[in-house]
Amino acid sequence: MPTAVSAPPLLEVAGLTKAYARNPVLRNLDLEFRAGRVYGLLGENGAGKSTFANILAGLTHADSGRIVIDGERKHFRAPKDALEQGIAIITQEQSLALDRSAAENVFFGQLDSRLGFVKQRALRERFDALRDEIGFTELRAGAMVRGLSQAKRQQVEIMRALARQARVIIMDEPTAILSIAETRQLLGLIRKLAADGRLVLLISHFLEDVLLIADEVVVLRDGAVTFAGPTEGQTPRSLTEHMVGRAIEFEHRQPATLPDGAPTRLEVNDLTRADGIGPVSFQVRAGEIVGMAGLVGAGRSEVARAIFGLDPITGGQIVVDGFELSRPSPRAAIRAGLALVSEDRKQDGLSLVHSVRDNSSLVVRRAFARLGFRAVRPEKAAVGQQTGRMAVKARSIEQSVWQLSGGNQQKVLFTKWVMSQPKVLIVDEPTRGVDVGAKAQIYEIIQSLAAEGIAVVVISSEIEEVMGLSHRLLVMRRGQVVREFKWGEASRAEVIAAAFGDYDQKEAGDGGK
Amino acid sequence: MGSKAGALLRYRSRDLGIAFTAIILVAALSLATDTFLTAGNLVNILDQIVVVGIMACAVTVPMIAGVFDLSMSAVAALSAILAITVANQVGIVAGVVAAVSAGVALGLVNGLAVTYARVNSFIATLATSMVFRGVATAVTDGQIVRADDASLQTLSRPSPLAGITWATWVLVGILIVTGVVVAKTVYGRNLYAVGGNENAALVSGISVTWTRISAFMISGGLAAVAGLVLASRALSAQPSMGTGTEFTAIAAAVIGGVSLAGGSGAIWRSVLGVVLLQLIANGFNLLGAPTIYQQIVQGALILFAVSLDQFLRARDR
Repeated sequence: MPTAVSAPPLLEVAGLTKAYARNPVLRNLDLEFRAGRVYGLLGENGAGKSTFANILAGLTHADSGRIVIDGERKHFRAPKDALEQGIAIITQEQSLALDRSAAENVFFGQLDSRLGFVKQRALRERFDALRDEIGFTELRAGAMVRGLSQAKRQQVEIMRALARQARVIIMDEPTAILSIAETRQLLGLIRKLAADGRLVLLISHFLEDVLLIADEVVVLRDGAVTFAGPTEGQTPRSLTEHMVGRAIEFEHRQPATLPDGAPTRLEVNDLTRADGIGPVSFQVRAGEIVGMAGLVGAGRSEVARAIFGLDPITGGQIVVDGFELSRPSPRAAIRAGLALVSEDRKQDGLSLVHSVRDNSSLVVRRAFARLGFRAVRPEKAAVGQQTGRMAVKARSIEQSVWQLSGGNQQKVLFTKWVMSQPKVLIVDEPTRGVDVGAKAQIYEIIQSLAAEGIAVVVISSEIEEVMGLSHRLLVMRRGQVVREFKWGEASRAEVIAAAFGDYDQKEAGDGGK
Repeated sequence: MGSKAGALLRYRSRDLGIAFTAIILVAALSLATDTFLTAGNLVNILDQIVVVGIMACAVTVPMIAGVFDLSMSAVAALSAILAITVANQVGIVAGVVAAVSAGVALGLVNGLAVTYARVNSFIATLATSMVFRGVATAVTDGQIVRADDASLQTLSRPSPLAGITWATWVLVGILIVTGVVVAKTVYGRNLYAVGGNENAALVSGISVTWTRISAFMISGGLAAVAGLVLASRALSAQPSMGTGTEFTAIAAAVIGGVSLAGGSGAIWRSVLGVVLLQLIANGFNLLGAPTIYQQIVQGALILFAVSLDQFLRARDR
């Protein structure tokens, strides 16, 4: 390595190879990691990042190759072996006991006890000391984990890793569930952990986060290392090239101009919810893409869910193509011409055990039935045509959705709603957990649907995404629309400032690159 | 496996597994005994699977929708008692209608408990089964209720066709109708959608509440039919009749490959599971082996079926 570090590497892997059912996932990895540094691990979905991390953490085993720590070869049979060597992993699927307190979760396995009874006070004191050291000031020792937000739960996991004297901390997509402010706090913490002499391995989809804090980056493609070296001199573009093997145009084109007489397809007037979100009003015209930016919890998804009848509204009016939805329910919304590509495709988008065909035709199931009996042939034809248009990559439309990559699952979810021929399409976080190549395709799909005259609402936490796609960008804060920008009018910093509110404007401007 | 046949084999391995086991059992029993492949024995086997078979068809409907019905034998008992009481006073047809209506109504109670009251279906139907059986005991004073009219017994008599009992034809009818409803109709796909991902079904405009309530109504109505078949055997009904049959039915469904998690399975699978369990019982009987071992084998088969299912899922992933 070009860096002038004389200390031997803390962690080394050599010839690491792993295959699932004869599909190679990792091909002969040789890497060195040094203490006190932050490493970014990048790669498309399926490139082998998580498998690599899981092998280091003892969650799965390599087929061949060595793991060397402090110059000594180690064998990890179970996560506890890795923990003993000071390797802790913080994964996307958190592993906390939900009905125990934060302090107990942090110190599980090393609780202070007397005669088998846990000494709560000593536990709390240790918790508070550790918490103050790393600055998670809002976390209370006695708080039940179930009641904590995703971000707070992650803090508990980080504290647990530190409580176990971890020297190597692996974080798998830690910022995916965090708001901008929380992300900034976490990135700061990661730097501090490294400054204290720990080795942090950060797996992330967010290139900018990695460029901001990693000392070195490792890029995987199809299980092989395509780049390993210092972050300095790298750009989002160069990293993307390493990831996908070709340059990808990240520039968003200006959206197509709207015809003057484009009719209003969705009109929301003074919508309010019981949880204090609202009043919100906006309009979307045929062919228009309206973006919604804001922090997590600003109420964007909540507004979408209320429009779609998934959550009750306490006031206001929803008008679709001139007809008011008097009693919103998903069924009424679909009938009126609304479609919702929801935020979490596994939670409420797709049924993963079922086929591409069954998922795609679910909304329009009655269109492919006669007297209540399924008409399979026209259904197959229609689904085949739409999945082709959406460029869904699957062996056949009978393949189960869980076998597809995240990007392809997302395209199936689009297929499902496009098949209902909606007048208004609301897409919530359309590219979350989707690799770079599929992202560009999803942008094209959104633009072409708008070009057909569908009114589109795009909700996204990726600011460039909403800024680039939308004719108009609405910024929400604390349940209300606080600003509106036309395409090309706003800078990233301005959007962030609006999302945070004026008091935080300066800091937000500095944080946004 | 690279070949197309190989891919098909892998894709179909679960289906082939059950069918294969059944075929092996039939072949082994045919060779080991000279009594297995006789018309009398086969008719007997078919008649013996009717009650569990109907309940297996019944329980598969809510299972596909992601919920369990553990109250079926209690529903069967209460409906059968009602059937005989009404038949004794009004007539057999009124008795049958009353029983099935009662079964559907009790299913509605289950459905409301699971959907509106949001009680986990395991607990809800376990609780209602206690209530239903308690009501049955209360109305009969724990006594056996006897039918005055013997016409109900027709169900247990041979039909003109190959001597197969009428009850068996009832099972065949239920198998076909529920099988078609589940596999071929929009209602059926709603069941799968709700069981596969409840939230996604809701977002897609499916009424999760109604789908589940109606699934319980179907299983309740069919449980009542199973109760009628049970009552026809002895021309009587009593509060404790059929106790535990639903567990055999659920086990059969699982052996056949119906997912405990909901969203996948088929009626024919459950019935094949029942056939498999009955073949084992019949084999023990014909070979003169002690029945204690029969339970051990059946229990082991259930464990094997579920672990095989898990293994195949893990491998496919």
